[in-house]
Amino acid sequence: MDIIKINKLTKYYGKVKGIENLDLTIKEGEIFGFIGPNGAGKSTTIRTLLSLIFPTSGSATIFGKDTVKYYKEILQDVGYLPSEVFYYDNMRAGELLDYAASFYQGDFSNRINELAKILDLDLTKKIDELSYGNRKKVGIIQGLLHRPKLIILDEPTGGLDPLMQQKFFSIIEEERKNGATILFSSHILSEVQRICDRVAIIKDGHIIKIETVKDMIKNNYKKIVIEFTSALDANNFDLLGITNPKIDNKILSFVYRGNINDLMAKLSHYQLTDVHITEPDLEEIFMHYYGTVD
Amino acid sequence: MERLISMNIFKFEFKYLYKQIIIWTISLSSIFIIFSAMFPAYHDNKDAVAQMFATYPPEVLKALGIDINIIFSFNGFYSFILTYILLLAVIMSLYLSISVFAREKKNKTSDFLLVKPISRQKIFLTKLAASGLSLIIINLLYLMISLTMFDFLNGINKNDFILIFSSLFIVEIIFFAMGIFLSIMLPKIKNIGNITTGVGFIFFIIGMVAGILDQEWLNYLTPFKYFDSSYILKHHALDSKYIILSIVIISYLLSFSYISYLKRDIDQVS
Repeated sequence: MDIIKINKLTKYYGKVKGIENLDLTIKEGEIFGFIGPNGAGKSTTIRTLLSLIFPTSGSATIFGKDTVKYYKEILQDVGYLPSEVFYYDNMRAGELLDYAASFYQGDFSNRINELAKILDLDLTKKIDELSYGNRKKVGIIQGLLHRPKLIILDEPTGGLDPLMQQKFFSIIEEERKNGATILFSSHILSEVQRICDRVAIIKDGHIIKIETVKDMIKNNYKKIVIEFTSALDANNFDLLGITNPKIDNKILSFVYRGNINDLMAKLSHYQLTDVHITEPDLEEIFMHYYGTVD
Repeated sequence: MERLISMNIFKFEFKYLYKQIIIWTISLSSIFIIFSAMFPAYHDNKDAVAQMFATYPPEVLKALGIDINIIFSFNGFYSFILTYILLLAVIMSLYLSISVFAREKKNKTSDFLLVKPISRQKIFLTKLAASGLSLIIINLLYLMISLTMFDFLNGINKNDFILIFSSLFIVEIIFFAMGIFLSIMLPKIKNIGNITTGVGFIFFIIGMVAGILDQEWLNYLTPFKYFDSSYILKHHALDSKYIILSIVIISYLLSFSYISYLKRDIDQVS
């Protein structure tokens, strides 16, 4: 089932382009990532899906229902974790979460306590007195307490220490195992790499590419470092598919986009001291998209 | 009732509102009680007071709402102090509506509330119900307390007093609606006290200027001048053209606010 279907979605803020003609389908059970720089349109897309802002043109459906018309029904099963968390004055964490829970059908106090325990959050504390990280935890629980079928995360781990981030990701994985679909917007690529199945790269209001994370990492680059026995060899080595060559005396490092067999064949003609071949991380792939598409 | 308003939001808003109800009821009633307590002494010394007023330039008396001919009756006295009670009541009305309707804007909690499975219609109507009920409760309590004092100072026309009270209530509703309008239209709400006092005083001062310059068209610019007490005491009725104007203004402010609230983009805050 298509959980989210976005069709030529466009949002202009006056004359300023937010997003333009966005097309996207997210299937049930996926963990789908949005990556892009600030101002790319990630938040605009998310806020339009949540009916916080209204499209200029185009449409989106969640659970098969139009987001503008049926937002009330849709939001029953959507959990949203925003990047910045703000709360009402003078409330305890538990009070705020009980208030949040009161909007959904059902009793979620057990789930609130369970999540608070996992994340180590004291529900009796006043939110005003909590640290940023602890307030973020309130935000996480608030978004997940009603066991939503769709979870939308906008830069969710900012302010969490590595241990908490780990716990957070296991909670998300658990939700996925229970059938939830997750939309994860981030500019921290290691996070996207870690848990997403597919990723959309957004820049200037457009989706540049949608790929599985596996393919992205596999099909694109290898980082190669070759230590030649002769500096001359290092300087003269050339092959179609090599980009960004860097030479440091006898060591040639580059990014390789070609057929790995061609590289191996050519290298076999040389005397080498050492070879390192590593998978690029998403950061470097990401840079590739931003470097070439302008 | 359940379909139109959301009980959890209603209870939530009331948690903050009940304190407001207590504070404003005490404030309004205290002013009335203190002034009323002064009335006997003031009335008994009316010659001395009249002499004092005679030294004021007529423009100042007009600005302050003092009409020598009626000010020595209780209703006349009340209509004078009413200008000041009205100023407090206006600030109160603005405060009640803004504190409720701008709560999310001020706390930056729009993302929290508007991502809940509840229609914006319901949120608006619930806030209207909670803040509106508070306004009504305060006014009813004030009416009860002032009528009690009234019995204490007997011999005055109760119906005129109630008419004057009604005019107070109508003006409060105008500013209450204005508060809703401002909550939705203003991009930022940082200090509610500043906004309410500022707006209240602006219209109050326009009223004073209207009083000094004695130009009828100026009266249309400020609800402070819609229901002149001397008119009420003379005609034993409210001026119908201002009743109609009030209804038009209130309807416009409420409808515009409602539609805006439903259609507004909620931009990200940081």
